[in-house]
Amino acid sequence: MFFQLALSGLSMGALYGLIALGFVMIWNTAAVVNFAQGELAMLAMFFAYSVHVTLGLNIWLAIALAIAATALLGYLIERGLVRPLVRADPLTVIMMTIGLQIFLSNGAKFIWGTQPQAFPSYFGTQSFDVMGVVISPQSLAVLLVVSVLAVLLHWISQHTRLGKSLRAVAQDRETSALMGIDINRVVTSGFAISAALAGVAGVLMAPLVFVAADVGLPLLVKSFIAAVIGGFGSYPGALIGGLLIGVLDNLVGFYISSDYRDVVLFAILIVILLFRPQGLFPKHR
Amino acid sequence: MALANVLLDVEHLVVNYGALPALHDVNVKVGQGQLVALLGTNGAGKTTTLKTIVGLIKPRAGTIRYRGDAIEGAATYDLVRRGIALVPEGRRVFAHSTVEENLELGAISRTSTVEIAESFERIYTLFPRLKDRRKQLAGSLSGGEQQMLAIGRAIASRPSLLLLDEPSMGLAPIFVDQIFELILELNAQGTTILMVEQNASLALEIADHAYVLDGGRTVLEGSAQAMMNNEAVTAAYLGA
Repeated sequence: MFFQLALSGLSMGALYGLIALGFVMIWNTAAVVNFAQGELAMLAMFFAYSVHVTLGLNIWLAIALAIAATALLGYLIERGLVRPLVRADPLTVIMMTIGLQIFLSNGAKFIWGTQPQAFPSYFGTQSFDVMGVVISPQSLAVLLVVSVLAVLLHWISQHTRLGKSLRAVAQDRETSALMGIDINRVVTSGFAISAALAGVAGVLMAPLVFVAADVGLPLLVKSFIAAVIGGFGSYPGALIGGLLIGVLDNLVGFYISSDYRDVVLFAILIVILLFRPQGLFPKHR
Repeated sequence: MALANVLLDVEHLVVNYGALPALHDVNVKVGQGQLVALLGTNGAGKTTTLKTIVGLIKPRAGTIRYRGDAIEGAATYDLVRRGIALVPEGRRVFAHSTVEENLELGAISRTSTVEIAESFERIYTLFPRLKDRRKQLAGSLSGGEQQMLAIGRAIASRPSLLLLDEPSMGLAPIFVDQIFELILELNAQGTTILMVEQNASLALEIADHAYVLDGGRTVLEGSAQAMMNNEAVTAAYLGA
């Protein structure tokens, strides 16, 4: 049972980690904490739901459209809401992203209603049995996709012009401009990529949970804790933090009580902040 | 100053930091191929002048012409792509990146891999130490090596106009001599240089021409030779 719980926890955790990656990317490049990050995952679920279930179009088309729409939303958030506040007080920017979180969550209720919707599994329903541990194709796909994305992102950050620019801007904005880097463009790209990551997390998660307008906030909280545990700024840290939280969440839910999941999660966060405020993993850019 | 070929022409530059005036009336001309020193006491506005030229600060009034085009208000990345590079005060290397990655960032706006390789070859010839340490993190280099890297990174963009802000600051004397020889060599190879320098007597030794700023204004200008022989200048600004 332990391995069963740990494994299903890993796949949820990988999704928290993916959202946390986007969190960290925005923090590193724009010094903005985007509290609307969880809502982007929620919106991706609904976009895919509308295209696939309501309109009856192909699932892969729905997924592609949902991720693209989420990325576009990230782009629009940066251009329309973040960039005008570039010289504003950091607190103003935080208030804005909190306001955006509330707006998107309630806006989704307005459009899609408050009734949770089931999303069909799209990797089939035939579970695999590996030495007594049962894994659903969806969970397996989550682990595979997140692993591939992690490798791909690492490659992009090391070998492409955009990746190098993102890392440079994260280290020193002004000096990056002196290198001939168009900072605004890099920051916008960072927002679009991190929104796309939340979008991927959303569409992968949709069959594992009920699609509802209020899933964004718990996702935000868990991925935020994942990012903090990981050292807020470290990409591998965010992923590993997400995995840890996913597994813990499941184990506590089963062995203690699902009512105490958040209590334990926050207790761990507080202990880590007290004894290792820099997070579990050193900053890696 | 009558210059046949003016590369940079700053006229009546006025800059405010918020409500605080920083520059009142700065005038600087740099001719193609020249090495010009910008001198003055702390707070005279030297760094502000360089940052404004490269677009990091927007001027309140005045004109900046580069190759005859007005560039005040242009974006920094655009100016870098047009051939202006600034080696900032305090070097500002990317400490968490390797030496080689720093140089790659300097060349990031260029596209020809062949030309970039040539530039790296040239930089490594000028600074053999950087070649030895190319896989090391820039943050682990000594101050002098970081200054070499900052200059190398700037010339990786192949600038026509190189702006240097306090290249000798915080360096051991042996490194100061090396850096100044390099600056002279870069200039001899055709790069036009405008240099802010605290160590005025050293700067005048290698410069063609010099400007003195005081309280955000250009108060004096002349050939480096004339400046050195001007007792008022040496007494007020050269600490001699």
